[in-house]
Parts: sequence; structure tokens; C-alpha cells
Amino acid sequence: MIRQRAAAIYAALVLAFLHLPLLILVVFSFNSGRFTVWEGFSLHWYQTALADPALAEALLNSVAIALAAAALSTVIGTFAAWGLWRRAAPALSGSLYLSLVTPEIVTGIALLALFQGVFRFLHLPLGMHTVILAHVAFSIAYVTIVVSARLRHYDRSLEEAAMDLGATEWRAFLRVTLPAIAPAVAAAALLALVVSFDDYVITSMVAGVDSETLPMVIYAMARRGVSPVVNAVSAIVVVVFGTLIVVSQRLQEKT
Amino acid sequence: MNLRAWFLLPARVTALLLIAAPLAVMLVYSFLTRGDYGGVEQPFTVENYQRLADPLYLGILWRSIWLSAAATAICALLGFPLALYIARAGNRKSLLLQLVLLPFWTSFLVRTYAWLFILRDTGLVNTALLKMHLIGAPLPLLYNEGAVLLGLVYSFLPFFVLPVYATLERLDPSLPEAAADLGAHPAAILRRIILPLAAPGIGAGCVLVFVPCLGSWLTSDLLGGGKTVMLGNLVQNQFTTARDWPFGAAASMVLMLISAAVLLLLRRSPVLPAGGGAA
Amino acid sequence: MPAVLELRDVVKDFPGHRALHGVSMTLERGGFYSLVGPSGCGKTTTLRLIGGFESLTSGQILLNGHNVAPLRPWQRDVSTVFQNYALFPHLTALGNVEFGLRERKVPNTSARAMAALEMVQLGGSRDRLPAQLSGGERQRVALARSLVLQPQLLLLDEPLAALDPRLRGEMRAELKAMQRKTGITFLLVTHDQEEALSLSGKLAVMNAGQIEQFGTPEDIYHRPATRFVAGFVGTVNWFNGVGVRPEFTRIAAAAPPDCPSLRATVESSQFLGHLTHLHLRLETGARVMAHATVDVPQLTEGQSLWLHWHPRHEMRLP
Repeated sequence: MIRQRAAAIYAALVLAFLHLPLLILVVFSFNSGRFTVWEGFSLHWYQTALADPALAEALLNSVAIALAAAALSTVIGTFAAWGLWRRAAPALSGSLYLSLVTPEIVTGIALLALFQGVFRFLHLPLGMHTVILAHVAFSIAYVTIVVSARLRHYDRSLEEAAMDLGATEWRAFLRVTLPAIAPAVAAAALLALVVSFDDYVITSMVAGVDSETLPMVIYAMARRGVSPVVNAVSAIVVVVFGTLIVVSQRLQEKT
Repeated sequence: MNLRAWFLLPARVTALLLIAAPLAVMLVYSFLTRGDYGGVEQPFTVENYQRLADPLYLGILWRSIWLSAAATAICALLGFPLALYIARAGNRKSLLLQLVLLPFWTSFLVRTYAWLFILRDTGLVNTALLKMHLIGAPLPLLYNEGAVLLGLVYSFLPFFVLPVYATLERLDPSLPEAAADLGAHPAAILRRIILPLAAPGIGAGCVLVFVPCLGSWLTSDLLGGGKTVMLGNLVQNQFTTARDWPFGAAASMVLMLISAAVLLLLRRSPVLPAGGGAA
Repeated sequence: MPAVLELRDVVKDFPGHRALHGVSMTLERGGFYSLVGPSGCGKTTTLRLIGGFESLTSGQILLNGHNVAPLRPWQRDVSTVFQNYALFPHLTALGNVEFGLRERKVPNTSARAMAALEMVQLGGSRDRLPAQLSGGERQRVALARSLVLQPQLLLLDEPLAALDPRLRGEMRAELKAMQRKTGITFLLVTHDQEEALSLSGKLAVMNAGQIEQFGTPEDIYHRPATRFVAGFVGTVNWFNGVGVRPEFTRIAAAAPPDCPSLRATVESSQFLGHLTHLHLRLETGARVMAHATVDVPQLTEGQSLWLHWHPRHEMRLP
């Protein structure tokens, strides 16, 4: 039918719209020329990117922050999801919802104001630790959502059976529930990793002078002008993130 | 204290200290006065909010609202047919859905930068058009409201598609068939059966696009240059170059108020099923 | 020697309604008991209270004379077989049966668990996951998992409800055999009166949060304490303040002398092979059902006959 064909073409066009910009970016990261005229295939920009010390340090910072923040928020968020599954806690759910709908710029400056003002008493300067705290703050909501979604389909009687057989509530969680929701927890952790790794807005507000993250470097480079080095770095980021997210989604489907 | 209380404790402490407290601080700051070296000091005042009524700032507010509304409208127009197509796609549904969502999950910064790469004077579009001799000089495609709008639509289109798809997917397929059986043309079926039943999803999709657009910062910063200033840029400005924290705080509060109003509007309206949107 | 379980005036309130209105019951060691009643009568609530998954509003629950109300489920020597079996999906059959033993840090868990699996004839399935087992097999694993701990009391929540009707008869026999073999006191909750009557030494009929009668199957069936009990465990014809079960009524062409009888007209009949249901209408307009087994004469609609019964089968209940 013509209508089916038209609909399929339309869908393809929109999907192309969504994917082409990234594909173009990736393709031109292999361009030996500097501009958008194709001059030949080259890995030159990747080599430049990987050799850049500032980039390397920023990457290390980003990885460290993401791992720390993801670890913390996964633990906190998973426990919260279990608690909320048992019985609602409106104040907590409300706060998490608030953190999701607050514009990033507002979250960033609010945390900056808090860190500067209150922490002045504790002589805590801005640095990696403040970035990690900020990342934990906004990624808990994501973790809680993913784990809660899994728990919604989880049979409460499994925990009751475990308790019936002699396990305390904690051991029932540890031995029965946690193994059952493990894929979802892993998926949530991956999500928290990506969300933390990619953040620019909040991080730029609360990072100190010597804790540059990869997004901050990319932003600075992008601001200075378009450079193929940014293309190369972007391409790597896109591939890595894409892979992590696909894995995360597969894990969520697993249950 | 029972186990549940222990499990909720870390999240509660984090929420209190890192979500609620910062916003409370902002609220207080919005009523204070700017300090000489940045920062805040007494006395308390409502001057910051009054300043926002200045035509300059109202213009920024208006621009933010209309850009967000325009982006929402475009996302709705582009996204609805796509969502409908995917909902009817049978066993390719999840693949198509993943394709829609995948770009979203790769870096937001990178995706915005991509348009920078494509639209600038020496970018892909201009280079191609110049090469084909369709234009004599590069078109100023970047650093204007149009570029920002494009960036917003590109970034948040998946946010519209997802809830609409979810609603359409649950639509009983026998309903459009019954309508056809009763003599309705496809256009009428769309208008009288599908659209009304999809309304909750459409409502949720609009909110999920509008609210982030309203509070966006990166898109207008990178694609708008210094010229297109949205509320988010105004806020950030006050905390960096302008060093007027109380004013920035007030602008933030207004931004949050408008977002909250939009969210509440949708929760209350019959358009949305009880329980709110997609998250 | 105290009774294995004693419920004293157990009251349970939920927000908005009272589920149990003062339930009292005593179970002696080694018996097979049932709690039966329509859905919503409070039987599952009672079971959960005994298991420790709900807390009492008032009253007492005594296990071997000890008040268990303040004890959490893992502290009570009571084990529950859940309606959906609640087998742990990530553990094998053996792993499931071992679970409680591991919690108690008992030595030789594998050997004991294997013995329990063998007892339910599933020794060969020890390494299978629950998803790979049939409904009946899962139920047996659940049983083994609870029995291996040798609890004072085994609670079974509608254990046969999820099974194929054909399987049910078999499982009933197996349950009865299991109880006799292990000597553990069983308390079964079901809405199926046939199940309760056939399995239990004593059963409690519950309705709207109260036990209406607690007695042997014969008592319950032939000497029901209330109309509800009478109607729940079988069919009753009520007329003139008196109830008679269909199987105790007879039909005759003429009123027999020395037993109560009533004139009735035939409305319809259903031939079921081993018996015939006769739907009759009395002069009062009341409808009555009678069973006729052998030598059922040819009956036509509208035919008049006499219904009679022996007075000892009358039930006079308010």
C-alpha cells in the first residue's frame, strides 16, 4: 500500500535526521583535512587526541569521578528503590522527582552556592570531591527509577518465603532479592556511569581549577572553534557511550 | 529502626543535603542583596524579582517560552507520525525504538557540537552549497534562534516519541477497525479515534519536551552564540561574569516556578492519566 | 503437653475494615487441619498471622504454649508453603531445599536436602532450576523445602489451586501420605470444601472473619452449626424452617405413611449418569432439588409427586 510505503519513508527520514549528525561527525573524524572537504582517510586526529596530555588527564578525571559517583549512587539508589517498593515515602520520591525536573543549570548553581557558602565553614574547596557529590546527587534518581521498574515485577512472596525459612529481612534481601534484580542494578550502574561521564553543565559549575573533566575539555575546544580533534574525541565518546547504553538496555530486558 | 528505614537513610540524607538544601539556599539568596565581591549579603529584598519585570529580562523570558513552545510543536508534528509508525511496526518495534533512543543516550555535548560542525560557515552545509555553486557566500546558519530551535528539536525529539509510542502501543487495534467498519475514512479515524486516545501520551510528551527546553543552557550557549539568550544562559551569566548571585537565584526560581506550573497543569488535566508522565 | 497451636480471640484490623473478629482455635500435634471458607473470609489472613507476615491487633497466638506474636517469621518454628510456591528462581531444586538449612548453619545441608527431595520423588531433578520444572514438581520442591526444616507446624496456602484438576486428586493423596509419614501438624487453607473434607481430621469453616464451626468432616457435614456451614459444604434444601440435603430426599408417587413429606411438581431433570438431579417445585412455590439414583421412573414436566425424607436427616438451624 502506498500509505505504508510513505510512512516507512517518513520514519526513515526522521531516523536519519536523528542519526546523521553523529555519523557525519564520526566520518569526518577520519578526514585527513582540517575542514569539511574530504581530503582522504587518516587517523591523524585520533593520534593527536590520544597524545594530548590535557585530554588524557581530563579523561582520567572523568573516569575516576564516574566510577566513584556511579558506585555510590548505585548503592544508595538501589537501597532507596527497595525501601520505596516496600512502602511509599513521598518526601523522598518528591525530592528525586525534583532533581529530575530541575534544569541542570539551576542544579549546578544551587550546588555551587551550597558548596561555597556552607562549606566555607569546613574549608572545603571545590574539586573532584565536590564533583562526585554533585554527580551522586543527580544520578540517584536514575538508578532508583531503573531498579524500581524491576522491583515492580518482583514477587514479594519470594522474600517472605526466605524469611519463613529462617532468613532475616536483610539476609532475605541479600540472598534472594539482590540476585534476582542484579541485572537491573548493573544496568542502573551503567546508566549512572554514562550520565556522570557526559555531564558538562553541573560539573563546570562545581569543579575546581584542577579537576577538569573530558566534557569540560571538549566544550572548551568546541568554543574555540571547530577542530577535527574534537571530532575524533567525540567519535570515541559516542562509540563508548553507545556500547555501554546498549549493554545496559540488554541487562534490563534480561529479567 | 527497621530495615526499610536503614535502606532509605542514605538516599534521604543525600536528598536533604544535596537536593533540597541547595534549592533552599537558592530561595534564600533570591531575597538577598548582591555583595561587593560577588556572593550575597543582607538586607533582604524583593528587588531581584522586581528587576525581572524589566523589559530586557521579560524579553528573555518570552524568548525562552516561545522557543520551547516552538520546539515542542515541531517535535509533536515530527514525532507523532513516527510514534504511530513504530507502534504499528510489529516485531520491529523494539529495534526501531532503540534506534530512536540511541542518539539520545550518547553525549548531549557531542550531539550539540555536531550541529556546530554542520552549520557553521565552513561547515558541511555551507561547504556543499558553495561547492555546488548554489550560493556565493556562506549562509549564517549558526548563532541565531533558528539554530537553537533546531538543536532543541534534535535533542528532545525522542522525549516526545517515547510516551506517545507507549500510549499508542496500548491502543486496542480493534478500535480503529471498528471505526472503519462503521464507515470512517483513515483521516477521520485518526482525528476521532486515535488522536483522542493518544492524548495522554501526547500531553506527557509535550511536557517532557517543553520543560527541559525551557531550562536548557548548553544548546543556546553553543548554537546561539552570545546572541540568543535563554533563561538558562541568563542564570548562568549571573553566577559567572555578572557576579550577581541574588538576581541569578531569582531568575532560577522563576524558571523553576514556570516548569512546576507546566508540570502541575498536566497532572491535573484530564489529558494525563493519574500518576503523571513517563518516568 | 500443650497443643501445637492455639489461637485465642485473634483480632486483625486493616485500615478501613476488620478482617478477623476474634478467632479461636486449637490444633493438636500430628493432625491434618484445614481452614476453609469463601474468598475474603479471613482464612489467608489467619495463615499469615500464624506465619508472622502480619501482626496481630489483639489476641494471642501460642505455639507449643509460647506466645509467638512478637516473633518475626524467621524466628518462628512454623513453615509456609506459598500458593505460588515462591521457589527462588536463581537456585536449583537442591539449592532451594537447602536454603533454610543454610540459614541455620546446619551441617550436611546437601545430604539432608537430597533426602527431602527423594522423599517427594524429585531426587533426579536436583540440579534443575524452577523454570525447568512443572507445576506439580515445583509444588513438591516447595513442600520438601519446608519439611526438611521439621517445623512444629506446616502452613499450606491453597497448595492445590494452581494445579491441573487431574493432578489435584493425586496431590491430595500425596499430601495426606506426607503428613502421616512425617507426623508434622499440617494446616491447610483452601476455598474448596471437597479438599478440606477429604484431607482433614478436623476443619474450621470460616465466614466474614469468624470461625463458624470447627469439627470433624462428618460433624461439619451432617451436623452443621449454622446455615452458612450447611450451605458451604454441600447443597441443602430449605423449606418450612427445616433443611434436608438432596441425597436424603426420595420421591414417590404417593405420600408414604410414617415420614415427613410434601407434594411437589417436576420442573426439570438432569441426567448425570450416576445420578439424576430433579428440580421440583413445592406447593409453597419453593424450589427444591432432589437426587435420584437407581430406578428413576420416567418423569414428565409438570408431573406431580411426593417428596419424602427421614426426620433424622433434618437440620434445624436459625
